[in-house]
Amino acid sequence: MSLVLCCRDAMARLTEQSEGALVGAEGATFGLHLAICGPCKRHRAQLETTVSVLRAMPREQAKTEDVDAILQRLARVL
Amino acid sequence: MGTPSKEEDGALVDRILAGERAALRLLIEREHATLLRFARVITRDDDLAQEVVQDAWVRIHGGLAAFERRSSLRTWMARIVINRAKTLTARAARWVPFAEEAETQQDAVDPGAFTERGFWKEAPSRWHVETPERLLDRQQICAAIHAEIAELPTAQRAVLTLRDLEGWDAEEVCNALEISESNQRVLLHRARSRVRAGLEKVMP
Repeated sequence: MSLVLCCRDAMARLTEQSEGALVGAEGATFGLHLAICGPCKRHRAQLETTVSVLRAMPREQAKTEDVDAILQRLARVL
Repeated sequence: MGTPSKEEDGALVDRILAGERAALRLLIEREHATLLRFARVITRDDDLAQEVVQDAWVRIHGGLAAFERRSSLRTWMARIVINRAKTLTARAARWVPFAEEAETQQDAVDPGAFTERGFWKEAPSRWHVETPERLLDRQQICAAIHAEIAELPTAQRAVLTLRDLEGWDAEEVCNALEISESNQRVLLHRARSRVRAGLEKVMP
């Protein structure tokens, strides 16, 4: 990674950064770009909002009748 | 839901192996919905997904004594679901390994949004962000998210489902899908970026 990062390359590495995989000089270059680039900051915030919304979506729960059906099937197999 | 510890999983497996029916029910209640959702992602067929997971439970139960406890229990169960899906789907011969999708060239963000030198042509539009829960109250937002997820290629959808909808950690997803950490990040980034782009069209 060069010392000057363009917006396209910075945005391609957002998840690498959020997953802790951008370290050392690469991490510093990325951090510098984000510190001074308003549009990239906004895009990153939007990606973070997207993740928050995805994580807030209700999780499906197993239906009692499905659990009972599986238990009955397992009892038959044994 | 957080990742159950290996000790919690181990204790649950021990109780099941000792014949405790309540422990088996607990495992099914805890994991069935996730396994079914995952099976739907990889088969893209509701009926087949039901069959895959029903069959997988028989194999999970029958194989618990052989579970070596090196990986997490749900990673091991997801592998069984993948293997049953490969076997039962008519497309088995054309099964594409998840890693292959990560290795294809694809831009996460529309390349048309950038100048030749790679800078934004226009800043992304401003979002009036409320809490995630408030956003999910809007039917249009929910519909956009579901539509984007449904359109994702299978590997991206699988990674996004396990990481962001089911709350698995990166290591579990890599183990379940047999992909490298970097491939997992590539797939996750593309998937999240596509959902972001879909949200952008309907955000207030």
